[in-house]
Amino acid sequence: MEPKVILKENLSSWLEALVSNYEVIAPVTEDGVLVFRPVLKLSEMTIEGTSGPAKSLREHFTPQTETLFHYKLYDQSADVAPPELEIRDRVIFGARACDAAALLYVDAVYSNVEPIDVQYFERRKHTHIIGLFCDKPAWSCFCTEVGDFLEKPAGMDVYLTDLGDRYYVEPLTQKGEELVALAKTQPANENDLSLVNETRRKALERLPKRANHEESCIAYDWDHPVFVELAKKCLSCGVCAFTCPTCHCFDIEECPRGSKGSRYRCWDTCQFEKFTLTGAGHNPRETRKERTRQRIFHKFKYSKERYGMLGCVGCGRCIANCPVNIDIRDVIKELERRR
Amino acid sequence: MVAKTDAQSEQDDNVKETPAAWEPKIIGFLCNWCTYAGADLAGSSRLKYPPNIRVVRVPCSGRINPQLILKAFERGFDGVLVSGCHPGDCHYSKGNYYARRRIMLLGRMLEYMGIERERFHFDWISAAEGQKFAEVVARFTEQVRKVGPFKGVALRQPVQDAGSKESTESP
Amino acid sequence: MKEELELREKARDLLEKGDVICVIGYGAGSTPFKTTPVFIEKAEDVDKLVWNPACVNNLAVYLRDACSKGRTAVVVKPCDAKSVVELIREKQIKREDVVVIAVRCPGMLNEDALKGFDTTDIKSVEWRDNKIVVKTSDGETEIPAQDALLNKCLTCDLTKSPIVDIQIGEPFERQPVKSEYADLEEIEKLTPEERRAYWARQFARCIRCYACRAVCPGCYCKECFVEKPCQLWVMKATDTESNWFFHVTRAMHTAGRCIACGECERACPMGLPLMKLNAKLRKEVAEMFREEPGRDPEALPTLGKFDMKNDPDPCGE
Repeated sequence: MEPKVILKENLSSWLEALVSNYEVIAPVTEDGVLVFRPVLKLSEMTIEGTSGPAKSLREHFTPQTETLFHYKLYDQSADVAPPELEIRDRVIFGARACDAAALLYVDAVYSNVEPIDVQYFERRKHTHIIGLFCDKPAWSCFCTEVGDFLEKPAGMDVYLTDLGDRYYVEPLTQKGEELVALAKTQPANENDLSLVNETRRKALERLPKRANHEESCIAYDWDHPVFVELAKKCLSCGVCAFTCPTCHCFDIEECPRGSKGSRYRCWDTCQFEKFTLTGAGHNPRETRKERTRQRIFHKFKYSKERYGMLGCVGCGRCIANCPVNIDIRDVIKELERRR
Repeated sequence: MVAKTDAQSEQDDNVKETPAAWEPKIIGFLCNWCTYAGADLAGSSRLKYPPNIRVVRVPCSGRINPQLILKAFERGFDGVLVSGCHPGDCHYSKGNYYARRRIMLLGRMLEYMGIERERFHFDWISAAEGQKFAEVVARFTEQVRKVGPFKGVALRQPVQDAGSKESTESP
Repeated sequence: MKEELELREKARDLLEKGDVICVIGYGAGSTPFKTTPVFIEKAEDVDKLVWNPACVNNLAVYLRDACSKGRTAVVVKPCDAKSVVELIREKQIKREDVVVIAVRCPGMLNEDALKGFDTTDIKSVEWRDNKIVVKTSDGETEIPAQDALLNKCLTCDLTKSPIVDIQIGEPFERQPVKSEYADLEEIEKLTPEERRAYWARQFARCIRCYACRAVCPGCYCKECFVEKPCQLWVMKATDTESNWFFHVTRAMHTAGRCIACGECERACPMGLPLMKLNAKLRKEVAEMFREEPGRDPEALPTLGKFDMKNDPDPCGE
């Protein structure tokens, strides 16, 4: 896979070629918020000067609200029909390394159960990812602490690095080669390569070193006092989970319309008080102590135990968005201090 | 992105009708002791008024939760009528005074959200005012007919299917 | 800075004397331009308390739980103090169970003002005259108040806190730069269809995380209307209509009670302009009923009373 370079002035035509073959989903600024939406032109995209979107890529694979089936009720019977899955071949342009790596985790979660989540895997099959190296990591980013994917991207087909007036283009898969072939590129030379290394070095300077949470998380203390502290300030608002790229829990509900309707699933979070409330009235995670502990343990200890990998990709959205500044990095530090 | 469904075929009556055949769908929240009785009187007096109104009887206008009215618009009603006893004549003595504050405030909010003022009518009609009831309903129905079908709080028909493509994309 | 030191002294005093079992205040955040709520229960921990332009949270949201355990002190800005008044007014806490520590507030930093900065390199944010000073490793940058402060600070006319037990520093003389209702004009000049398009575009982004509800000191229902069994009022689905219903209903539920602390809008991860909803109802409540929440802890709730003679009437009666 030969690395290439594409001049920024040729980006528009590449995008046009992509748009004519795929649905292209890219970062767009809407009312000051960065979201990933289908685009048709380069001018709609916001690709410069940002660290990443408000929501992760999750919504494009596990939509916030998704029909499971339709039904029609008759006197003594019912018709149940599956939803029509209309999934076009699509390309996500400008994804961040953390978000792409997170999808591999969600793959592991959804492959771990029977029956297989057909809708999720259909979407995965039809989606190709062109990632973008983060040259300006935010204060909340810590992907390098939990993985190597910033430099060695996982779950992507192409990796772009911004070199000022051009992008360094690395095809990573066969599909990546196909996507890059649609662009007007030239081979990368030594200058390009040294600039790439310089860019990477500058970015990595701002980020923490790789830690070994994979090992240390197994022995996290269930009764650690940090959760009593967190419980005081956490508001169970759910923002951390809803913006997290690896979170995957959902609720199932009905949409009844008289004698017909549908059943759907929608995002849910263990941070909500009523998440574990049972019909009998018992709630095993009644207080925020239990719920905050659940979140941290799930992202680290339980994920490692269950899937062999951490459930946190260090994207930092939970840190940046938490209204009370709960910082998962500090919590992990506390947990590991008391070992 | 999300599953496209056959929601297109399962449409509200409102949508299926051609513009010429469209009839305003109006819901009326009427208090039992005054306005509902007034409506009864209109009926027993054989007064004519348009059949577009669907009546929901409540014990008192004070019982009317703003959410009932919001729900009506969310689900696609073209007009909402709220009516109770005249101030001072409430069967429960004060219910309509509370309603007055609440519903007046809601009316301003509805307008702010882009629901045309003509779609919402708040009135006082007593048990003896059968004639007034018929007139108010007739006038309101025409008002709503003139302003046209309600295209939904999100400028599209109310969602038939929670997970359908229409429901997660912005209009 | 001297307010910080005075605050710590007073907190130490309260705890040593056993006047309160806890002081809720602001502590250093995980980055210099943020703070985090701290719950000081021992006198030796008071040095955790800070006071700087990053003290944005409305800590009144913790009072219901805290005061039920014992007398609690809370550090407030004059805007947050209005929440305390409302909680007392609605009988959610008793006046004697709370000690209100009001601190001189020149205005709080709007994080958006840091967009042009390298956020990994911010050393501190401070007040200086009518500006916020951002210190980085290269030096310092002064941002004038109208570009640096939260919207609510620019519309604030509160000098004296409406409720105070301990005043730290001289109350800051506030001069509002614009009216609280100025932003409403942007919507009120639109046609009904344009308004619906505007709101539809906003609500389409809502992810129903309920952060707005969680940070609001006024949203304390044990069972919120969205949690009723069988989706009684609104579906959990995130279609625009359901999102519309949630937000308009929540606005109506906080009508007459919202004191415009702006936390809902700050907490929203999707940039919904929630204060435009609340400001509208605040304006109507002020005009129609001549009421302003957060001033009088003895007053009955706005929608829990009526004025027979003066309330606006649909028929002019």
